[in-house]
Amino acid sequence: MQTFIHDISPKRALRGIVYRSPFRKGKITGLRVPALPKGYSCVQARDIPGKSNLSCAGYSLPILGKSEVHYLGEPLILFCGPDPEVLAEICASVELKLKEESPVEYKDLSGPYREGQIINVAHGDVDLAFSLADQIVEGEYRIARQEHFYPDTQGTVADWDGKNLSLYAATQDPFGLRSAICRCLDLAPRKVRVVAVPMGNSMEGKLLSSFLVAAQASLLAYTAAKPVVLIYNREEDLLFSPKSPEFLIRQQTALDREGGAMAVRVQIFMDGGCYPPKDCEALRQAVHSAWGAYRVPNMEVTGRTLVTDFPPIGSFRASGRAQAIFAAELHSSRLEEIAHLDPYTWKKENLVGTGRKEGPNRGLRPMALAVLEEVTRISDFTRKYSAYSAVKKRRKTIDQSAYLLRGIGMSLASQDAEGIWECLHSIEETRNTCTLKLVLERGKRVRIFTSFVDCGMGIHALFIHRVALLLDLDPSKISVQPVDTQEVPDTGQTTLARAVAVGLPLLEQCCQSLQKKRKIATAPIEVRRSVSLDELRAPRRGKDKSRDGGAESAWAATVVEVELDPVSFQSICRSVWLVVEAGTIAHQKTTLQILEGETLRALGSSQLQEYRGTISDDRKRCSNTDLIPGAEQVPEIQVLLLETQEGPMKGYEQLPHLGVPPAYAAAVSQATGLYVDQVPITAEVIQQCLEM
Amino acid sequence: MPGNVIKLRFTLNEKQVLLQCHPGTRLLDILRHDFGLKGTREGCSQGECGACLVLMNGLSVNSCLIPAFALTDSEILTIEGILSLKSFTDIRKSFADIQTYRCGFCSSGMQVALAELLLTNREPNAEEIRRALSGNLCACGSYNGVVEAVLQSSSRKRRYGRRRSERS
Repeated sequence: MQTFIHDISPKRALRGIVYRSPFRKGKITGLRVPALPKGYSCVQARDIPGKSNLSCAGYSLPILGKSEVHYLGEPLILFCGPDPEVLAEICASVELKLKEESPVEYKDLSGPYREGQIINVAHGDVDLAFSLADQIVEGEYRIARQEHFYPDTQGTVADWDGKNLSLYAATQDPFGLRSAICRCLDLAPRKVRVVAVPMGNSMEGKLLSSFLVAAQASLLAYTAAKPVVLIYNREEDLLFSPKSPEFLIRQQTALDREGGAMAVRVQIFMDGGCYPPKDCEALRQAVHSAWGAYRVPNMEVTGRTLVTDFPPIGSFRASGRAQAIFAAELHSSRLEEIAHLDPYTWKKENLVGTGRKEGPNRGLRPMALAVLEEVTRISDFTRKYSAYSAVKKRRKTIDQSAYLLRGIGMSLASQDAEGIWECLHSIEETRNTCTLKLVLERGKRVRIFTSFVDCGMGIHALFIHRVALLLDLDPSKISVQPVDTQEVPDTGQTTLARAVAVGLPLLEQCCQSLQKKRKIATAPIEVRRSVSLDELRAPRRGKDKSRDGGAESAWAATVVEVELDPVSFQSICRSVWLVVEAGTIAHQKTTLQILEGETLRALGSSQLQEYRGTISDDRKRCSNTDLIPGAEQVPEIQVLLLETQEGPMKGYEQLPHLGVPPAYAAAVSQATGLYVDQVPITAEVIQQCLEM
Repeated sequence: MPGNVIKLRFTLNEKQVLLQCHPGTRLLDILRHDFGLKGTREGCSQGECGACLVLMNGLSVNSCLIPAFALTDSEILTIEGILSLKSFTDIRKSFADIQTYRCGFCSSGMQVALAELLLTNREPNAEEIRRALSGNLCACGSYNGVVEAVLQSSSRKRRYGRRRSERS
């Protein structure tokens, strides 16, 4: 059985607790800490020996609030001691005086709001196209905040022996965490050791959040000079940890007389939370994916980060891109209706690569078309779509229907390597190389040394099977060294896309080198390969034409079929078909299982989850199963991989998150005849749409 | 305070145990902290995710919802006790196989739910397995893999049983 962070409890370890602001916003005028019993310690912002802000992948947030409170539950004081009950009493007797201010939210974008980052992208003459348009189609799409709901809450065990600090942390970026802690405690990297313990499937939720809890545990251990266990409880984690940001996307399309898109104008508003990143990767992804996979001669996209008083935002799977594609796909379904075309035909006719001006996306069409055709075939989409449309036309109102309402929706999306390189850079400027090590031991055993942690993404399984194939060994002879910053090299932060795009090529180079060395040397043989940020970026600068944006993109077409109760509007997903073009596939079985699991999570995001940002709402959510679908809610999922024997391996774990929500929304729209323009889609949302 | 402490006697993994604790202490905390049985995991802490499932008198219960006072004279079987059962060897092997592409946090809860099913129904169908797992949430969405693993292990058992009967 695996040992998770909750299972680690060193002898003599103290327990840590975080005192959090009970207010949403204001200036601190007084903060009184009660007298502490012997053996108990506390840490405030002024006690932090190094930098008091944490940074990771462009995000930056304070470890402890100092003079202002920006969100409900912002950490202000840390306490540690032997008895958790005494710690709770100490927390309850802290006196916080605050000059309260009204928090900034945005509901309808009428303001007032503070703008953070703004990104503009444009090509062609959008104003002229709109002035000449025969028809203008407008739509507004909302994608709610979402909680990662990782099964194990955030936690760290920190041990300071007076000279060195050891951390046992559930983190996706052990070396990034080490750097952050070094800056926070003003220590040299050699004095900090991070051991990444196994963790539950984190959906990228163990990046920034894991840094925060680790910094808090480290500060407590440093102050108390004893091991400290700091584990957030479920409620605390759910209410105050960084979430995926909320997006509101306005789409305007100028159509000509035949219903063809002349121009697109997109406005993207992203709730950046109280500490929005200065250079937000999610916003950049959203802006660059604003019109999905379709061609348009004139386009203008403006992306804005809004500063609000919600908890900080963090990474989430396919953050930014998923929201943009959701809006683009749903908007395109309105255009399909106007053009009197079914989704398959409209998509096929409007795909990039079919027009004159496609820029960097040239050449994407063949694979996009292949997945589109294949998903249409296996799902019997055209026949079902026509049948459900006919039923919808015959029906006067949905509440008159005596039968279950059925609908089917389709979407097309791609996951590219954009952002993988940038993300690496934005972690830290000094960490500009990724390294991987392979050791051939006696008895033909191979050990892989990497800082990629597994966290339910199947990365280690992919690596093991790849090495087994390349070195012609039994997979049982290959193992991955436990991730410890003193033992493994820095391969960068863990995401499956990075593991595939950066880790697997390094692994292959190591295997090739090992094969050569095996002929002239005896075990143990060690090989190590690194790649620098500049080398990773080189193909993107056009030095290597074989690895342009098109070659790195993985395409997927998704079809979702739903059934709705005409009285309760409870929706049941009947089937999901997903066709993926993912380049060379390292291991078929693992790939299929990962995609199936991600499809289920994406379905959960479409149907079930929403984080509302208030204690009363979210306490209810804590006691709700509406976060991950259960075993009985699993629909029939068919995943088909279109393997290409040539070209690089591609990341694919985001594809279900890009494709399932818009396909699901389109299916619900067809079933109900309503324009459903938001996710998650619950019975209440359908009721609201009906009343509008 | 002595007034707040009760004495408990119950069976834990087929051994009689004695314990003194607060009557409201959760069974989950007793197992993890007093007996060091870390296989029972704390997930949602609200009885919804099934990570803390144990068998109590042969029925699966969420140990995060069971107070200590309810334990008197009961029989508790945790994942550690279940894994030592011979009848469960095949499922254990099947789980080890699917472990490669899932985080494993919910594994112990799922295995307890399956143990409850398999102790009464040796050859369940897919629907019965799904129903048995309805109280378990898996963040990796590996339900289909688990159902397949149980079906495979059941069919292995069937084949093995048939071969043995043919030989005899």
